[in-house]
Amino acid sequence: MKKLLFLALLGMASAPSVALAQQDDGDVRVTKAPALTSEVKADYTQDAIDNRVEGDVKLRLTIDSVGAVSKVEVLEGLGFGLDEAAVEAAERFTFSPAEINGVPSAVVLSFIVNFSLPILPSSFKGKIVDKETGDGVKASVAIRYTGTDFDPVPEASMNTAEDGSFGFMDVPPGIYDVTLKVPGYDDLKTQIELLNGEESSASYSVVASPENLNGQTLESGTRRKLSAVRVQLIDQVSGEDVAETYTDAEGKFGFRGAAAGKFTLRFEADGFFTSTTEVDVKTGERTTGTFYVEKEYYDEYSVTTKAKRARTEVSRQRLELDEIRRIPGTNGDVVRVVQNLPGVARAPFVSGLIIVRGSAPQDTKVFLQGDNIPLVYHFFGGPAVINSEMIEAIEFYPGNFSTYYGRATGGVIDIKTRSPKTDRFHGMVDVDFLDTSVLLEGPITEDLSIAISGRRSYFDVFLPLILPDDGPDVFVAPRYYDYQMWTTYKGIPDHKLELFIYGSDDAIELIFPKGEPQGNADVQVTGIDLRNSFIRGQFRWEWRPDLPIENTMMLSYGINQTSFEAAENFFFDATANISQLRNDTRVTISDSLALRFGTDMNMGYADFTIRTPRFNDDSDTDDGEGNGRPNFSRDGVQASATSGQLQPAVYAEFEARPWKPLLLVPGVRVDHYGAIAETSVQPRFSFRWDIADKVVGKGGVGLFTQPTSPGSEDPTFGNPDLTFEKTLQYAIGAEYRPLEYVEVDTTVFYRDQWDLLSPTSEFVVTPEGETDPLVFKNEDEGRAYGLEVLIRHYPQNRFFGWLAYTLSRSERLDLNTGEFVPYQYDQTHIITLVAGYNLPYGFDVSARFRLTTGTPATPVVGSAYNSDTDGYVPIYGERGSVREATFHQLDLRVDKKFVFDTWLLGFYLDVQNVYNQENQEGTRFNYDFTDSAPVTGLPILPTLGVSAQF
Amino acid sequence: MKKIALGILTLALLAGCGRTFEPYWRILDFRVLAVKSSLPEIRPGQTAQIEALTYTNTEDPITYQWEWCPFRTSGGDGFECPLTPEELSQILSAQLAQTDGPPLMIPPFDFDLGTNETAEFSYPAPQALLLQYCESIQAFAANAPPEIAAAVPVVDCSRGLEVSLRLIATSGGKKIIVGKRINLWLGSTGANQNPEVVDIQIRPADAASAAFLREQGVTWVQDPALEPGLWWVSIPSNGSLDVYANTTFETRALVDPVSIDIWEPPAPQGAATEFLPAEREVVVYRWMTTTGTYDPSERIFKDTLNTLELASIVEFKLSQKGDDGDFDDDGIADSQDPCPATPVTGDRAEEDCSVEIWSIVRDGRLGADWAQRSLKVVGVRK
Repeated sequence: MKKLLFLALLGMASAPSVALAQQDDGDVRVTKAPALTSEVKADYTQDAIDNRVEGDVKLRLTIDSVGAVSKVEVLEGLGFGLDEAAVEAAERFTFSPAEINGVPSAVVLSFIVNFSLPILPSSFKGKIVDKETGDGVKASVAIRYTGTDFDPVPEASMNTAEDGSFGFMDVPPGIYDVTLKVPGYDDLKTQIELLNGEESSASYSVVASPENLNGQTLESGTRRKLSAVRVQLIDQVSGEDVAETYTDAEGKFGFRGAAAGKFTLRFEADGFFTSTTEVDVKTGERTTGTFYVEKEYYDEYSVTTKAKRARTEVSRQRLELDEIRRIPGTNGDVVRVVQNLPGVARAPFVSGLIIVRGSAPQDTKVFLQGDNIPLVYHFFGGPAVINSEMIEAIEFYPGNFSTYYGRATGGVIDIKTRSPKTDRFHGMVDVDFLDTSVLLEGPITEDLSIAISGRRSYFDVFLPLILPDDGPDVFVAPRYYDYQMWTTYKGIPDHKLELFIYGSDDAIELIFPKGEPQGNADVQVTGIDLRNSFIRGQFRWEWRPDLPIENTMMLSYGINQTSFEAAENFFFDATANISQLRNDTRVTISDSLALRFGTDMNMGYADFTIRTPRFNDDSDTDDGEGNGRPNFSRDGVQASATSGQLQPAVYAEFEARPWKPLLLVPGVRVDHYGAIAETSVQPRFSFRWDIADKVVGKGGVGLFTQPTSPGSEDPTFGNPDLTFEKTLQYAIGAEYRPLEYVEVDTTVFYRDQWDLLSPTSEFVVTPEGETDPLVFKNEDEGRAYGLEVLIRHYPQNRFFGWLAYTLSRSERLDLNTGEFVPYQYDQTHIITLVAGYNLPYGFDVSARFRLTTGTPATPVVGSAYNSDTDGYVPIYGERGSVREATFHQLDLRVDKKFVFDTWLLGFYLDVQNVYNQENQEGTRFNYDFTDSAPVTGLPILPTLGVSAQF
Repeated sequence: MKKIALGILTLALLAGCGRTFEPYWRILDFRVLAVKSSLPEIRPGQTAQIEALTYTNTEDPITYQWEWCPFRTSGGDGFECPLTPEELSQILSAQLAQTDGPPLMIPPFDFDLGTNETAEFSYPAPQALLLQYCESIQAFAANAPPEIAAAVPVVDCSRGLEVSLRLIATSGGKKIIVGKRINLWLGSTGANQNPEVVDIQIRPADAASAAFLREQGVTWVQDPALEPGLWWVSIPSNGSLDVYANTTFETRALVDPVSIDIWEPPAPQGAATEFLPAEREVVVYRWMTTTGTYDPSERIFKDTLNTLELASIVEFKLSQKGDDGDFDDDGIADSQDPCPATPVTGDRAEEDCSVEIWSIVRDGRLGADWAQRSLKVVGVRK
């Protein structure tokens, strides 16, 4: 409140002095002096006021014998009309007559008329500026009258405007004390004299106080800098807010000139627990500190608001890392999580097979930013070789994907990596029963950041400790490790350079006791040494200027090594050098037309050595699948060779909007498969149509081809006259998004496959008369069709989840009967329900429920005893004529985070098969196949893990 | 994260928790344990005696039906011959008509080898005809459907022609189909004979067991003070040895070393040579029993890895779980358990407590031999 007090006083004084009008020569005496009986005040003239004139006008008054003023003379004047005013007033004076010797008589006397200026209000305007910067600063200003003329003493105070300006109006003139109080600045006291009726102005330069209380606010656990946190400085004694401020982008805050004493700092921000801490401010010292504020929910599910390219594909599902981490039963595995999406059949056991829309697992390819991953999983369906911590998201295309992707007839999984963190160095350690993962990442320079991670199992370390001395005759020593290093450089505007190096190494050894080989008369296995490793580097260059063109180039190279040794006549060793070169360009031709085109070259060579033993068994029926086993020589095979691979491809597709709601994507991809000297032209087309608000129709049709499996075209181990596998994919569907984070997606699909690779017992006789097994032929056919429905709640409001349902039928041609029969992975109904929710106190729960139709099986209707091989051989019935039991399973996961100032400690309990359902994964038989029992999957399996990150 | 391997481990650990099946080597009812030919490779003019090793625990008779087939038949097809003799003759005639060689007479084929307990199989045709036949059927099967192609031996015909024997044995309503191959000699060098099992021997597995058995008056057990190598005792072929349950023994089958051929294995496809260096045949010992437990039940002799003698030794234990009479260690005391829980004497002991053991030896070149012995459980080691 502006407080203003003032008093205004006016005054005028006069002082007569008497003289006789006439002088007596003799005994003349004034016996009675004239007395002023009526005084008239002289008027102050405006001219005199304006000229600040005041003082006395000396008059000579002649007063007659009746006391009237008969004559006025100015003896000393002031001018400016005051003399006249004095005369005019004096002429109207009346006196009591003077007496001389007792007789009223005229007299002359002197009279002074005093003119004092009137008291007029003053004004005081000013501005307070920072002495160093000259910028105005906000402050409080107080003035107090120093004199004694007024009672009460005039005083006033006010806060300046933002620019430091202030003004006091109608202030009594005089000398004032001026006191300036500026937060963060030293107090300033001075004086100013305000002249009567005048406006005074002043500018005060204040000196900033030293910042004696400051700090940085970080998120507990992650040490993320928190901006816009309200920081209040509270006096502990009075409980009053002394000051407040907000943290800047670096999370920093400061208070200047905080008085000595004990205070409470209070931190408050949305999404965080309000926290307080005590600080002791001492005179002449700076109090500083780092203050941690705990988030209400860690790993909170919330929609990321990154700009994303509009969809052009018929079917694409993107899963962010927050979701991937939380899905029970997948153990955070980056690839396995795809198994929970529509169109994907349940994989047997714990295998990571991705069976998409009734295709074979090998028909679906996994890419890392467009680069073929040489190995997806560690041994025996172990964890994915790609550490989940390095990825940003995965994108899954169950079919009708862009021409950018090729050499796949099923689906595509593209793993998107993230850039290393740049704010500071971070670390993570994840420990569980089987392996430990370590991650370290951070900035090297302002533009260069790096991340390094690694994981190693220690099964081989602790297994000998738990095996009894007289335990099994087999010593098992499996171990795996993987590693990743990636770096990002953003020092050139519009350009981004990335280098990614990753690899894995698996080894398993089974050593049988000396002198006790296993096997049979054809092969004597003394142990098994199985190794699989790769190292691969990927360089990416992204150019995204503010132009209607963008380009991404990727070059990768890797070495894959696989070896297997079981006996002197049973081993395999292969080393492959595989390189991939991609260039992808997108040109925006107009608002309604864009062109994407590029090259995709896969090339390399492999050196391999193989030796297979003799064999004599009669299991020529490939377990009832119908086509027979490759009719290799029963003497075994020995070879050592180098084979090359050259698979260049080009592609192009338009993104055209002839009508704004309609997006048409016609494209073509041309692949050349060098090993079989075949070229494939694959036209593809898809569309998306914004039918209504929040409703999108979509569809597509296209040809997708892939080479036959590596080595199948080898003259020794395969058939050089093979062709590529072909699939014609059709899909149509719709998406409905009632809320930003809720989507309903449905797709009807049909797949027609032909020229599929199949083993065969057929052989030919060469012109030299030698038999030559065909091993493989392109004679299999398949088809699949179905309906997919996905109701998905994207991470938002601390919840994520989806319901996926697939109704499908997948069939293969039985080459013996010419009839289509259910494919081995066919599952009529596939229902997957996934949900996760953030709870308070650092808890997080998630669940997954799956229900699928049992997979087809071929019944065993009898057996025969082979006396030479000493074992029974099954006799199969109609192929795929029975099904295994319906599968259903519930998995739960609970995460708990303990938040410390500088690190996070997390525990999780992942319980697979909560209600211990004995799901059938296969059938096992007794020795003569007269009795059988289901092979059941995992029983209830709790897994406990702990992770720490800083 | 990623506890997949843990899952595998757990699965492996829990694998034994489900219902278990009787092991292959425990013979509880009618079985055909093996079939052998007196000649694994038959030369022109020779006749082989075909014999089946069978077991039944009932009085039901065993019937036999023997057949042969000039193809390598498949167990998945029940070792059924893919062609009838008539079809075979027609094919051969057609194939031979396309050859430039001297005309050959196709003998009438009869695949039936009779229904006796044993069968005889003679070299079925002139050697030249068989050689041409071998080459002809390969030409015929070239580009043929897989089921035909799979039956054709993709080998060098000069190494012989493998033909198949089939036995359908029936007893008590149970039918067993058995397949076995015989090689018809077509000019290769080197002998191929059956391995010969000359004896089966037994000894206590350790000194404590030996001492216990001797304390119980089991007279065949040697003095444990002797070297263990001297503890071996032959099990008589026409009698039995007394043993105690809950006692661990070792058994071994003695194979005449002379019966183990030295041969030149065919080199694998792609090798620079046709044959690998000469080596002794690999011998696979298979042990079977009517009760008890073998560990292991199969062992392999490989000249460079062990010795014929050591490879033949396996551990054999007759279990006795408390007093429940579960001699066959299947967790159930039932009629399958031949012996009672407590020692018995008299006729019943002889009847119920006998244990049959077999050692079947195969050489990987279609040769086989076996020996059968008996033990008698006379008590239980507590």
